[in-house]
Amino acid sequence: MANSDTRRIFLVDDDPMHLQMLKDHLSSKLKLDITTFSTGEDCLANLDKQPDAIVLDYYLNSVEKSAANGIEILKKIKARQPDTEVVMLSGQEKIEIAVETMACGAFDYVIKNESSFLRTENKLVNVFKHKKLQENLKLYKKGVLFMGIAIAVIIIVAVILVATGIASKNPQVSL
Amino acid sequence: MSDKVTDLTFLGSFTGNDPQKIKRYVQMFLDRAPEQVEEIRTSLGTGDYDNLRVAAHSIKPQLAYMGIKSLEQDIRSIEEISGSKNNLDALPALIDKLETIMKQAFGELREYVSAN
Repeated sequence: MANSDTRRIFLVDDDPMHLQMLKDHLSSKLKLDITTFSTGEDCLANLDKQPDAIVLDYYLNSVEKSAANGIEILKKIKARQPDTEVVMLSGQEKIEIAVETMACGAFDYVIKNESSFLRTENKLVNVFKHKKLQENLKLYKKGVLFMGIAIAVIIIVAVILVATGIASKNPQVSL
Repeated sequence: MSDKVTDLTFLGSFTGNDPQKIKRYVQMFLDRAPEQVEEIRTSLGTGDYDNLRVAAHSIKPQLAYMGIKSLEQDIRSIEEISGSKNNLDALPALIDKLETIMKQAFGELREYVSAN
């Protein structure tokens, strides 16, 4: 069962062997709740489960010929859930592909080869660090806002007490 | 034999030399790759170079995992040529070589599966 330390991720790839190998590798290295999909459409249909990260293959139509490619799915994920980070995966070694995916909102890009399992693991660790920082920043902002409101209330109360003469008439009063 | 075309060193390292896990991945490869090679041949015959590129692209990482190094450059060439549609005359010879080596690879891997 997933607990608060466990991150939820989706793996999307039409290559069953790579999908299984990646799932086996990541589940042995990180505390993850992993769901796998062979098409981007299935991934989109499950976005309401709000994964922390998605590892998404660039080409998804080798089996299901009409399946949408990874870049189309990436755009839809970012439009619906901008906070979900996407690591793109592809056998394409062209820098243009990496640039295109990053421009569409991918967190990072991994080339599919023997080192891609370790590299994907490292990218996910970076995603989780980034998300943790964002979560801490949100908490910090809430804390600062709360402190600001509290100080404002104290000042207003003090001003009212002085204006009504309560504070000066009773200097010994203990609250 | 030194003329083997497959090398399971990577899978050994990936699985911590667990023969059952290696066998599982090899079987997954054997379940899919023969169809992909057939698709490459069929696409060449019908002139469907987009489909040929997708099939070559899809099988490329699997060849690396099975240590079929003799096809490393050829599969890239097949993908590039079918994508760019330049130098299409080179494709038949490359695909003949792919089929020959893959036939041998399938034999070696089936032997591994039945022996483990």
